[in-house]
Amino acid sequence: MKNHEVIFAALLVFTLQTTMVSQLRIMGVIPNLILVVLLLMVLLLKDHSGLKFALMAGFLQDLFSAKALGTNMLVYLLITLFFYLFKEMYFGENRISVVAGVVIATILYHLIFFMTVIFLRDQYRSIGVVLSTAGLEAVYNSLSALMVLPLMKRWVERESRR
Amino acid sequence: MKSDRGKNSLVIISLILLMIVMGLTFGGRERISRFENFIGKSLIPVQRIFNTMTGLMESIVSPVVNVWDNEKRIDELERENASLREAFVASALEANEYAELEELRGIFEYLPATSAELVTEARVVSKDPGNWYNMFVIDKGHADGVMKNAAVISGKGLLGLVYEVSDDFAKVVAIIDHKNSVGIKISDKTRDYEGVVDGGIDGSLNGSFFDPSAEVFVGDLIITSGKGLYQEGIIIGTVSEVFKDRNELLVTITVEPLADFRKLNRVLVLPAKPGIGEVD
Repeated sequence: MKNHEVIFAALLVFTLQTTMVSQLRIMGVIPNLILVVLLLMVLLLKDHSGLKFALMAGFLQDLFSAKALGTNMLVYLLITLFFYLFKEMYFGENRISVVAGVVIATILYHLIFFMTVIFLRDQYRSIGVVLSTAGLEAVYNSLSALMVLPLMKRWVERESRR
Repeated sequence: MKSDRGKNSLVIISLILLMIVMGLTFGGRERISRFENFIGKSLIPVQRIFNTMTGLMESIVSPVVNVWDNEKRIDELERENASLREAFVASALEANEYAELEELRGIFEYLPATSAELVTEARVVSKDPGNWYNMFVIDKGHADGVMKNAAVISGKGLLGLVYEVSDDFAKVVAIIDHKNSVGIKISDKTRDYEGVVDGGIDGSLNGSFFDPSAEVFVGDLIITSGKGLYQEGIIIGTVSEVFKDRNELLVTITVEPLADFRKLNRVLVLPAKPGIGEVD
């Protein structure tokens, strides 16, 4: 995937997340489309575009809605590295793999964020609250991933034919 | 082998660098860098279009989805309207009506008349995309007179505080965010108790009054006390729960904000309190 395509994808997904998806707050929790697209990029693409997407989308999220620059970049980078390490061993491109990946990625996101806010002494949430938010978000993210997966697969196929 | 080691080192250096940047930028910068301002400025018009589209879609879908809620709301409003009409007639009979209204107006009159022109009208262009913070971005920045630590309000009440400012946009931390403390008091002047509230997890505000004998009741209107970063007299919300500590050392309350944080569109940015906003 070319650099300008990664930048465009990050801008589009970020804009959708901050305008449309952020309105879909159900039981106080919103899905994370950025995390879903990032995971699908890592699992479906052969190159390291996921890494670039993680940094770009993380930077945009930090710029617009984080208390410290680098927070989301760090979280997305660690998640991307985790999946690059284990994707060939444990993850495939089928639906079950994707859902399992999304659940793991969502829990990882919240646990790393939890440690980050402790490091910054920003706020304290009990681990129970963090995990219940992560659990609910994992459900939304899994549903979003199942909707986005066919689109991404079609797009990856078209890319590989080029 | 060598290239693997190189890649690993690069990753570790990147992670350390990100942690340093986080530490340096935490707490809100006085001014966002030109590069970040450029990115933000370029993206804001696109976000505005998407926001308008979302609003349009919501206005079409919402009446259909909320038919039941709307019926209930109409009933509630009709009941409220009837009781308000009765209350109005009763109060019209009172001779000191004007004086009372003046007094009420005084409670909410937090801005000196001369500084009204310093109020900046802004539009919310994006909302927090995650579940950790409660922040939003407005399309006005330093060039329009917005300063760090300035209070942001909607027509219904207090929304939050400007956290970081660039030339063309600003990040606002909502009052319902964790760690955003607001000094409060009851709007009723006869009960002069002060306290503080913080953002909770469920979008409400939790806090307490300093006076253990404070007479607080469910439904009391809560306004800012003027202690801390916010000006005095801005409406926050109504008390929804009151708990008295067993040892009677604290009166703990839950406040439901009047502002609807799900439907933010147009907001007002007040000038920061003297000595608290940034100084050029």
